[in-house]
Amino acid sequence: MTEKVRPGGVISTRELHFFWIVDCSGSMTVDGKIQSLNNAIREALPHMKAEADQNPHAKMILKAIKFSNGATWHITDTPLDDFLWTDLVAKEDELTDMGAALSMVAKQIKIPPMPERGLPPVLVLVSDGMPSDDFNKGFKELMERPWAKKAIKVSIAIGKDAEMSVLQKFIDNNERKPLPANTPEQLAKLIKWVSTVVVKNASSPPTKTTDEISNGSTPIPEPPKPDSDEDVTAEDVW
Amino acid sequence: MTEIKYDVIGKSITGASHTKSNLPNQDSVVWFGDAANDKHFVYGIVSDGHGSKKCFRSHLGSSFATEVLSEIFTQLSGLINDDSNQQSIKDYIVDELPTMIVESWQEKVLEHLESYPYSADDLSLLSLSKADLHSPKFEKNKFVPYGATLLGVLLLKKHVVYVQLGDGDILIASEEGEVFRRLPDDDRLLGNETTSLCLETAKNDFRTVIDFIQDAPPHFVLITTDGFINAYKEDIDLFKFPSDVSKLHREKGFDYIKENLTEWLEETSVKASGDDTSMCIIVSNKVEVEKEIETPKEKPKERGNWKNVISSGLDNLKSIFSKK
Repeated sequence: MTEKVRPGGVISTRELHFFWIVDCSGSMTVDGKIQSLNNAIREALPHMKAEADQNPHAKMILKAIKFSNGATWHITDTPLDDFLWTDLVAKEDELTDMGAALSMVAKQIKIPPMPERGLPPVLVLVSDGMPSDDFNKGFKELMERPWAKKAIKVSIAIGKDAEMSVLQKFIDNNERKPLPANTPEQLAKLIKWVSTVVVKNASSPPTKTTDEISNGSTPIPEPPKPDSDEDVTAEDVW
Repeated sequence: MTEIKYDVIGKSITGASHTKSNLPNQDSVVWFGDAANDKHFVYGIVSDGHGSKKCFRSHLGSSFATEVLSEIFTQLSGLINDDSNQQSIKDYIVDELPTMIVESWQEKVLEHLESYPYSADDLSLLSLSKADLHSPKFEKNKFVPYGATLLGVLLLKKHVVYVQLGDGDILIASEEGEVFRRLPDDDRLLGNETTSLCLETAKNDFRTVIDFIQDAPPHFVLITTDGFINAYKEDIDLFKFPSDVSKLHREKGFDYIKENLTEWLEETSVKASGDDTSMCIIVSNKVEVEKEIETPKEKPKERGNWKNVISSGLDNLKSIFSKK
């Protein structure tokens, strides 16, 4: 008996591309910031996978770009099921070439290699300082891409020296703010939120009419509020 | 004597993710085929309700959309004939048809809203309250809960009309298996973003084309909502579907397509998109004349003021189309 074959070519779930864009400048070596970030991303992974399992109709592909003196790949396109976090290393006296990182993202968010019928990508920028290169050039390159306008963009400011104005500009949405992480616990909470709540929203977004997205990107739920700093000592705060 | 006979089928399935969440199918589909009389018109129409929190009546909006366009197509088929002025028809299809569709749909929505006004809970989903009724903000947003896309193709003896608002796709396949899109792309439709009947810009967001048939109509027409096309990462894989189905039609007949279409749509939803999927397929065949009448899909009864919008809009067309 001949087996019935479905007409048409290969079918697949829609891809959701998730970018970690991470500061590895010299200041991230201070007070264990880079290690706190590594721990937070690694610990959030099982939660991210559990969240992604709730929606089998989205295929998550993760990648990580690191920036210090220039920008380079830390982890290239990896399906979530195969994704393992390897620790980022920051070196003293290295710079904060955030613009170069955004230029790299711009190259990745073109169609192709991004699919035309994918889900809006998620871009998460994590930094503790001020860009040392031409941020605006990199940002302009990024925002020329149609997928960048539709992307869910989140920025996390590590410590009180982070440059909030560029992190706000990156979000490209007046209704949201950069998320402050002044302690390892706050950072872990935000990383987990991005890895779960934001992923959930991005992997099954409702259809939106072209005038609903006033700032170009998919709306996301409110982030967690920072905990009270009552039990936190000055030594714990970045 | 050979004539063109059409095989027409439409199907709509609830998406796998909606079934899991106990949500209704937001799509609608209507199709009609009649090769038995002088009119020789067939059409296929699909619509996709948005299904977001704000679009809580979009399953109705999509149903209204397919009803409105089917009524317009039916009336147009009686007005356009071989002697009609080509330029007048073309001008109407491009410039006037979108307005007629939108205004008729809005009229239908308003009729429904009059019988089923928004509750306080409904209004809160639009960030409104009862106090906002009749405010400019309400007027701007009152159609949003019914928001839907709309795609349709009308085939007449010498004309083919293509209509699209929002995401989804209309694909044509030749007898040789070549597949292409007849309508231009809309660059705004990326990710889950779509234009819609509920927007103030709806009349300008339509893509409409009329072709004048020289030798033969398009061999194979596929009209589908985005639940189907989102299952294919690349066009090369998507285009294989109309090409393969056209081949199956030749080798195994139309009954084979009718028997298996639901299964194919369900497979793409379960294994890929998870979304509601609606599709119409129209295949043209050169056959000996047969007297065969297909029964149109039964339309629900309604008061019909919206039909007057269509009739009054089309009243002048007969004389315009016949001017040389």
